[in-house]
Amino acid sequence: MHEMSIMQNILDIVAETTAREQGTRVTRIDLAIGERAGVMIDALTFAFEAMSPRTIAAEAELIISEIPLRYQCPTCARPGTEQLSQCPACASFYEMVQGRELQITAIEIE
Amino acid sequence: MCDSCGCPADNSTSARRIDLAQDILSRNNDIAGHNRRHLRDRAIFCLNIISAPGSGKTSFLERLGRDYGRETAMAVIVGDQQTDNDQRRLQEAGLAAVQINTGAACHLDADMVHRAMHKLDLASCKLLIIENIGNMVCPTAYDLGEELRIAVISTPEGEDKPAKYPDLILSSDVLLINKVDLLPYLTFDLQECCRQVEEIKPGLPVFAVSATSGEGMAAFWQWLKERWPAE
Repeated sequence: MHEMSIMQNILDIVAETTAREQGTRVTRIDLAIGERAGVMIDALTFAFEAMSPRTIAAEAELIISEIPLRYQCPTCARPGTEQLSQCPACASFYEMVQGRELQITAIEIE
Repeated sequence: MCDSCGCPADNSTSARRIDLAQDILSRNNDIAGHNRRHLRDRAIFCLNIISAPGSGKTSFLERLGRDYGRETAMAVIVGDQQTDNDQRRLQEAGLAAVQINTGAACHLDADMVHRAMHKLDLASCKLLIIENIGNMVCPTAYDLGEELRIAVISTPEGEDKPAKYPDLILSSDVLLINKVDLLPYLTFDLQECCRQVEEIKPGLPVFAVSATSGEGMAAFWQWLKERWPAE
């Protein structure tokens, strides 16, 4: 539901960066979205199609990399899974070390 | 020079890649940081309460105001899509309150909270509570400048609510299970609910409360007071 608001933030950052870099057109936007970021990729793509026309990013290609969830034991660094909350080796609780990203990694401008 | 044939015409593409590695919500996070500093400077403790609509957030705050409002000056920023019903209810319970109407938005962001903060007289306030829009998904992505995030579920919603909405549990500092006065009339399994929470976020403090009967309110208030920095 909040993908429109996320997209507005993306388009704001793109516009600010393009102005700062004295570009006139954006050709590509790269995003990294974590599996647990609370964002639906389809809804975000839809928001981009609905909101980018008449902006400087109207002709840009949107490239979204989905970042998978990753858990790790904070004590012995053993990789964990979502199904298991405790490390079988040292009984520490696994920590989520990847999967909440909500990042604009790069843009390409002319 | 042309990059295809070497003729003097300049048709080379001028596309440039700019690496940003910038958080999409960086603007929100900057304003949230500003809110947090503003409140810390004034020794005001700030809470962000998130739940589904109808879990009893406003009733809980009315009860908190009635039971502890004399002991601790509290103010509430309350978000709803429309109406100022909640603001009026909270004011009737003796709390300073300001309503935010988001219209279309499904969550509060740090800028809305910042503007609402300036509508409140925070001079004597010790506790600022932000009652978020009723929604268990979108509000979890937005830092508002709070010190603690409180998730609320209520017994009629079913004991599997934590498993169905893990993002809220993961991002919260405490969970309130409200409406426990209704347990005799429901099939809600409190133990199973707590087991699910423990699986998602081990060690998360859970309080079973009732805004109607007052059960569990004192234990939660005691826990909350221990979280405040010594004045």
